[in-house]
This record gives sequence, structure tokens and C-alpha cells, in this order.
Amino acid sequence: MNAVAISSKQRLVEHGIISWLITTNHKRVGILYMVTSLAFFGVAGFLADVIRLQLVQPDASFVSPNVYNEVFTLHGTAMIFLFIAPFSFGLANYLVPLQIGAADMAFPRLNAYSYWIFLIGGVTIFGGLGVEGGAGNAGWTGYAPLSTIQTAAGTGMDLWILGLILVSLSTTLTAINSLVTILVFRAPGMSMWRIPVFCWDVLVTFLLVLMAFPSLFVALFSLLLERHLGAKLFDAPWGGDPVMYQHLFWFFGHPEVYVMILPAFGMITEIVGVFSRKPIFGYSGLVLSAFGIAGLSMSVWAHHMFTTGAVNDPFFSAMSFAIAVPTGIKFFNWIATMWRGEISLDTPMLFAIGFMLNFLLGGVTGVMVASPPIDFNVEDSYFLVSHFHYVLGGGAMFAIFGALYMWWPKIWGVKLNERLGKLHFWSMMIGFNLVFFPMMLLGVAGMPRRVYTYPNLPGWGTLNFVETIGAAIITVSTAVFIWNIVMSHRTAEAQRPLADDPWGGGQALEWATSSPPPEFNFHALPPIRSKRPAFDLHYPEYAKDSPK
Amino acid sequence: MKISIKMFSFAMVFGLVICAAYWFDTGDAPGTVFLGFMAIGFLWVVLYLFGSRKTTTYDGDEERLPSELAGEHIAVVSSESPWPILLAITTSAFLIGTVLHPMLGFFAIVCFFIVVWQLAREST
Repeated sequence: MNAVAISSKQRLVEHGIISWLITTNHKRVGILYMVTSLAFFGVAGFLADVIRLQLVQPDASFVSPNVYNEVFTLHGTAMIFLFIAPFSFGLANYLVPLQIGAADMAFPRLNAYSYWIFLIGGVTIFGGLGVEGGAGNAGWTGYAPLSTIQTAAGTGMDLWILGLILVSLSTTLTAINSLVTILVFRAPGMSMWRIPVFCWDVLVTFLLVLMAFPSLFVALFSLLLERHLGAKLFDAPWGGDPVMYQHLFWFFGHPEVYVMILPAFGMITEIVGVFSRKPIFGYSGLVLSAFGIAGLSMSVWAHHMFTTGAVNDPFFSAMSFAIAVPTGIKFFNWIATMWRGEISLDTPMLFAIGFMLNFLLGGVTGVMVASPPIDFNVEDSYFLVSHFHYVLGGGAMFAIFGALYMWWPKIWGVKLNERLGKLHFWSMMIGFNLVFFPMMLLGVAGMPRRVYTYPNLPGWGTLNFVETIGAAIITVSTAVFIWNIVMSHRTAEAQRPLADDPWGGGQALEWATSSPPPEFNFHALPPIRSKRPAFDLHYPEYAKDSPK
Repeated sequence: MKISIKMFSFAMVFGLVICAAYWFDTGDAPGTVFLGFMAIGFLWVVLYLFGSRKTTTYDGDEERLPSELAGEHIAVVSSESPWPILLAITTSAFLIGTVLHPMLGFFAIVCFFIVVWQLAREST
């Protein structure tokens, strides 16, 4: 009896839920990050549906105004802080040690600690839903004075601030861990100019985190001082300055956009290379453009504040325009990689192409709003909402789904069903554009954002109705993805053992180990003599053509 | 190592240039201080890397080493530990408690130090 009890306890520690609670292995921590962020994506997606139902027709009252404010605040906060960025960190956690030939992250226990405070931070943000007064409702930016004690007295706002502090602490620690791992723990032969572009993009992302996140910490702690010690930092009659909060927030906030999109660029680069069956075109251009984007992104924060009249418009406008140049270099290199390649339109590649089309629209509208005369006209309208959803939804989210399809076989040893994958892609592409293209037209027509309801002006009701239909299609599309996971894993045994490189064109080192990889990643590392060691291993006859 | 020094040096120079450009164009002190901090942060990293360049070597920079040696020095680390999750719980309880419930904050900081002590014991 006692022996059986010990044995089942042992099993629980080795394989059950306890093993996940105490794990420090980078692959398991990475999976925890990705699963958690996808769960937050589900919740934030549900909140988006609530927003769309409220706006389906003029003068609707599906939810109360206060609940609506909480819903759009939590939707934005969750998508940005709890889904897009953490998913990338999770994928980086999983892939970076594999791609550079390391056995684990530099600081495995710090890695696990970072994950757990991220999870607790996320739950804390949503914890506001269970307290009197409701959750934070000042928008994802938490602008003062909307977030000060006079206008948001409830505990929900405190929990929003404290949750974000925890999430930011997690991100900063992850950044330190990943930077040290990439710079120090590369395998022999894996020089910096041989690491995959995804690793470079992750490295640049985490440099940005180290530069930008202190400003968010200052903003959030200032809010706490304001709320609990009466600091009056943002209260103009007492000599405070509400615009200062905007400076602090956007000094973090604009780089944060690139914290979300740079890893997505890395995912797209890897996908395009594998599914074009070609070495990546312009490796150094891709790396240097990531640095260019990062540097410029630190110098454009006040373009979010043109209409305050308190910033130097020409400087921030010029710097914002300039970001289009390194971003264009990335686009050029992706297209050149595909050019004359042996392109196979598998689901990851479809998502990559979808990413390029959507992100292009997001980027072009970004250049438009970098121009103050246009920005003054569309500021706080649905045009801006459409713009940043094309960047982060049509961009980063499509990259994330592409990455999930590409690396799913590596992580789980199971390939997702291609037919369901393509159904997922096309429904997502159609649904996404049905939501956000009409939104752009509404913005140009003058519909303000963050409004609870709107008047019955010509065309507004129809366009909003179309958007809600699009949101429903996105929801169905996500259900198809979940169904795909369930169905593919039901037939997993038929696929096993899966090849090390199930796509047949894998270049980086993760494709040189088993699917899924062993605990410390490699039984034996292949020689690393070029930028695509896995390809050299599987196709030695072409190794001489690999870029060194 | 060389590439790390170069990378952070270029970032530092960029920070300085953008800081100076911003100051001369706008005369805005808070923004200049933000950008100045960015350059100073990178300067600190460059100085550290420059100071340790002779005593530090990275396996990855040795292009001719056999790659079978990779990871030897970190694979000895156990892939399980109960302390990170406990540390995360105590950190969060301390932060949230300090703001919303001081008794919880006090209790959490005591637990926090106990967990840190255990973590340090495990590390050694």
C-alpha cells in the first residue's frame, strides 16, 4: 500500500502536474509560456467579440458603459502584454537554445521564475473583475488622470497596475536571461554571424526591452505613488504634468510595438527560408535592419502625442518615416528569398504571406499617421485602431500562427492537419480583413474610438455590422485551429516517429535533433560550418553552397 | 566577444547622436534625459565587455572547435526546482500586499527571504 502510494507520488513528480510546476527546462518553460499566452488570447478574443456585439448597431446596449470600458481595457492589455509578446518569449525560450546548440537557457531557475510571475501578473490584471468597482477601465495605456484615484478609485485599477509591474519584471528578467544565453552559450562553431535570424531578432528585441521597460516601471510606480501617497505627479493644479505620464508611457510604448513585431519578423524569416528551399537572402541586411528598426523605434515615442501640442512634431515625424527604410529592407529580403525558390504553399507559408500583405497595409498606414497633418485628422479615430490591428493582429498574430504550424511538429512530434490548417488560414484572413478594413473607412469618416455607442450616421451601422460578422468568422477560425490540434493529436501515433526535419528544408540547428528533442536538446551536435547546419547535415551534397 | 563590443558600441554611439540631435532640435530636457540614459546604459555595457575581453572566451566564437563539446558546462544543471514558483508567489504577494494589505506584504517578505535562502542553498 505504502509502496504504491510512493510510486504514484513519484509518477506525479516525474510526469504529472507537479513536474510542470517545478520544471526549469527551457522547452517546458517555453511551452508553459505559449500555452498560457494562447489561453489569454482566447480570453482577449472573447472580449473582442463582446466589443463587436456592443457596436453591432447604433445605440446598442448589449453591456453597460462601465463594463464596456473594462472590456476594451482588458482586451488591449491582454493582447499586448499577455499574448503577443509573451508568446514570442515562449517560442524564444523553446527555440533559442536549440538554434544556438545550447543545452538550456543561461539561468534556468530565473527562467522558471520569470514565467511564474508573468502568470501571476496576468491573473492579477484580470483579478479586478472580481473586486468591487470592477477591473481597470482606463484603456491599455492607463493614461493619467483617467487612472488616478480621483477618476478610478477602485481596487481593480490597482490590480491592473500591480499586474503590469509583475509582467514587466518578468519580461525584463527574460530579456537578461536570453541575451546572456545568445551571447555566451553558443555551441562551438556557432559564431554570431551564423546564428539564425530569429535569434538576432530576439536579441535585438531584448535589448529594446532593457532600454524601454524601465520607463514603464517609472510610469506605473508613479501611478501608485499618485494613487496611494497623494504624490500629484500628474495633477496640473498642483504643479504636476499629465503629459509627463504620456512621455513615460510612450517611451516604453512605441519600442513595445517592436518588442512584439521583431520576433514576428524572425519567425517569418525562418518560415520563408524553409518553405522556399533557399538560403535566406541578405542575412546581414536582415540583422542590421533589425538594429536600425530598434534604434529608430527608441526615438519616435512622441508621435503618439502630436495632438497634445507639447512635442516637436518635425523631429518625431522624420524619425517615424525613417523606420520604413529598414522595414522595407526586411520585406525586400523576404521577397528575394522567395524569388526563384521552390516555394511550397504549406500552412506556415500561407500565414507568412498573409503576414506580409496585412503588415504592409499596417506599415503604410503607419507612415501616413507619422505625418502630423494626417495624424491630427485621424487621431483617436477608428483609423488608428485599424492601423495598429493590421500591424499587431494581421502582422504579429499571423506570424504566431505560422510559427505554431511550422514548429508544432518539433515541439510535440505531431504535424497539424494541412487541410484544416488551410481552412484556418483562409477563414482568418477573410475574417480579419472584414473586421479591420471597414474600420479604416469608419475612421476616415470620423468615427471615434473607445466609444460605447455611436449615432446612426450614413453607412456607420452597415460597416460596423460587417465588422461584427468578421469577428464571428475569426472566432470560428480559431475554433478550427483548436479542432485541428485535437484531431491531429488523435492521429499522432500514425505519424510517429516523426523525422528530425519533417518539412524537408529546415536550415537552423533545431531541425538536426529529434522531434520532440531530448531533455538537453541534442544527443550529438552536428558540425556547425555554415549558417544552415541542419541543411548541411541532411543534404551534404549541397553543403558547399551554404552561406558560411 | 568582439562582435558584442561592436554591437553595444554602435548602439551607444547611436544613442549619443540621437540624444544630441534631439537636444539641438528641441531643447526638451526630459526627452534628452531619456535618450541620454539609453546611451549611458550602453556605455556601461561596453566598458564592462572591454574590461573583460582578455579573460573571457565564448565557445561560439571558436569556429574550428568540434561542436560535440557544446553544452557540457550547463547540462549538469538540474531541470527541476520547487523554488522559482515559490519565489514568484512570495514576490507577487509582497508587491500586492504592500499596496493593498500591509500584513500580507510583511508576511510575504519574510517568506521571500526564506525562499531566497533555500534557493541559494540549492545553488551551492
